[in-house]
Amino acid sequence: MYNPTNIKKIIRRGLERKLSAQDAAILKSARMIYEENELLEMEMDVLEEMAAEGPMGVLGQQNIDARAIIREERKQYIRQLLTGGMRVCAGIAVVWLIAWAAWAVNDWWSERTVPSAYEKLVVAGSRIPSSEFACTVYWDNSITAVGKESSGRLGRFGDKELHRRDNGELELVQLPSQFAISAGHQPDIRVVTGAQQQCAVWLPDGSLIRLDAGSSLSFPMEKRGAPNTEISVTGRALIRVREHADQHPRTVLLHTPNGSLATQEGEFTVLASRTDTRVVLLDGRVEGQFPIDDGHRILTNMGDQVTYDRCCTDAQGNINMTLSEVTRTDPWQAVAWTTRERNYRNVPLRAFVQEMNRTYNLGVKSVNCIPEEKTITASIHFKDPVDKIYGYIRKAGLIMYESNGMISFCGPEFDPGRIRYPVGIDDSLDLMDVLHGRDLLAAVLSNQDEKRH
Amino acid sequence: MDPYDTYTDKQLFEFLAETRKQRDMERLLKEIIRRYEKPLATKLRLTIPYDEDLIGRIVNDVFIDVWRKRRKLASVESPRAWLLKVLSFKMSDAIQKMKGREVYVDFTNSDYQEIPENHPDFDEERYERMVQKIQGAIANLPVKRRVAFTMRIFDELSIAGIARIRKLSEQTVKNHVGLAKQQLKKMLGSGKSRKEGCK
Repeated sequence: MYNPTNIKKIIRRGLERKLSAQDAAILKSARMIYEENELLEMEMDVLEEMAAEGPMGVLGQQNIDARAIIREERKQYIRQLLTGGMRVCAGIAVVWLIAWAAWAVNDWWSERTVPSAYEKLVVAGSRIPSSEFACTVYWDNSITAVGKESSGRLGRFGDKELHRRDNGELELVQLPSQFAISAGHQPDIRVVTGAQQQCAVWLPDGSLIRLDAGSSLSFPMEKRGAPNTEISVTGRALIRVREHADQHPRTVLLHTPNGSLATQEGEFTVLASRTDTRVVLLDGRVEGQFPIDDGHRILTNMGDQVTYDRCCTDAQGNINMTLSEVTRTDPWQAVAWTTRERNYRNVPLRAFVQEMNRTYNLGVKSVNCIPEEKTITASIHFKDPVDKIYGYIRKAGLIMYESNGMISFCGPEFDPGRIRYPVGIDDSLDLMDVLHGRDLLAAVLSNQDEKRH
Repeated sequence: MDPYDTYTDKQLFEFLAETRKQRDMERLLKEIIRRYEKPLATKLRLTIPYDEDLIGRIVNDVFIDVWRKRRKLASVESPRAWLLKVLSFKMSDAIQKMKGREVYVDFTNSDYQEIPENHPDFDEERYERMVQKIQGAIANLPVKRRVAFTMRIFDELSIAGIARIRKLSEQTVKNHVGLAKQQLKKMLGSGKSRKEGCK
């Protein structure tokens, strides 16, 4: 029953589709004692027999050419190589895309989830909510007023588009190159905050600039020294520059009216006016360069501060500037302007007035007449009206004089040309040469009394 | 006359694997084609008798595989069985591509040689009797062979599994099973084929 001849006969019947139920049972049981290869060998024997018998062997002679097989194999091999290469390329592209997407998502996520030094310093509940942000954006001849109600796409400036995020922050989005202005002067984009306004702007490179009231940010449309980002800030701002994963690190160059700051990764506040610049580092590293001998400073630790301001006037009447060494300060004080409630306890009145002047645009001409020793204690909410500020200033014992929308603390202004000459003084003389001190003051006061009557 | 005529299949495969001369390789391939083109085509013709082009393509593919894997052919124990296996794979691939053409599916489904128990009239009782007969023959085997064979065939354990259980080397288990099969072949194959074996 299980001898090879019998099994071969069964296999043949199987090949001819004539396998009976008994054959199937034998064949199945035969597998217990025959290896698969043995059964296949037997099958090959049967096939050889059948091929030799004739009718089945339609291919009377050899049809397949060995060389054709070799050629075909080579073709298939090359095809496989090409297909494999393309698959590898596609795979690499997919992996690269996935990696890029993962990096972008991670970057996006960490940008939103990993708290910055500022966010650690000032908890969310204490900050002025970004939904309150407002500012004005200037570009070329266009003016875009961004209010609390603004949302979505606000305008296009050349190859940049301005959006307001749902949280109230502005975002400058880089458009594809076809939107770029091809020739001619490309005006800067200027973001300006007015009185009691604050604003946060995300630049195309991922840097965040938060402007205090009465400040401005200038972002050039032309790329100078790519891939660096160059911006100009006046007033007060909080700047956050996150490190880029690029092979070549990008630098953000921030110009102030009298200095420049550079960072690849850093978070800092800058107070920049025509006369002075003050930088306080919150995180990372910032290098400052100021137009003075030995004018290079590097800030590396949280709370590092450097100040560049006018100190004195020399014999020729030139105003001299001085640059401080890197000192330490309370970083919280540097970002107090971003909080809802600002508490001032025994702070110099001059500093308070300057601060309020920046926030409320009081129009203070000079604080030099405010006694240096005077201090003030006050608590200001970011929505407080300007009258409350005036109240605090008056309460501190200061008398304000208003003229042409400007405030002075130096007493009433007078025009010497319009002062009446006291009796006995020849009007051909210059009154300022003749009267001094108390006499001049008496003349001014009498002149004012006359006007009042 | 071609000198490779006298080579066994195994020798042909081994030489094809070893030689580096293009001419020899071509002649060896030619000899393999000469020997097996017809049997392979015959098998295909029995399975798909209506598509001569497809048969030609499949047979071509088998020999392309031989050429592509020529460097590994020395390890093939049974070239004839190997060729039939390759043919079976190529046929499945080709038929897979022809999916949807019912006629192909019908034909392949009616091939009970591969899986005899799929036969519509498969006689389970007869099969059980045959198994009992084999088991009866096993009783006459030496203990070690009997145990190894039973574990391998009836308990369907792997060689490695048996080796671990029996604390033997795998080769020893293989030898026991192989010798048991040989002995059974002698014992069961020598008998005259009866009605069920031969028509």
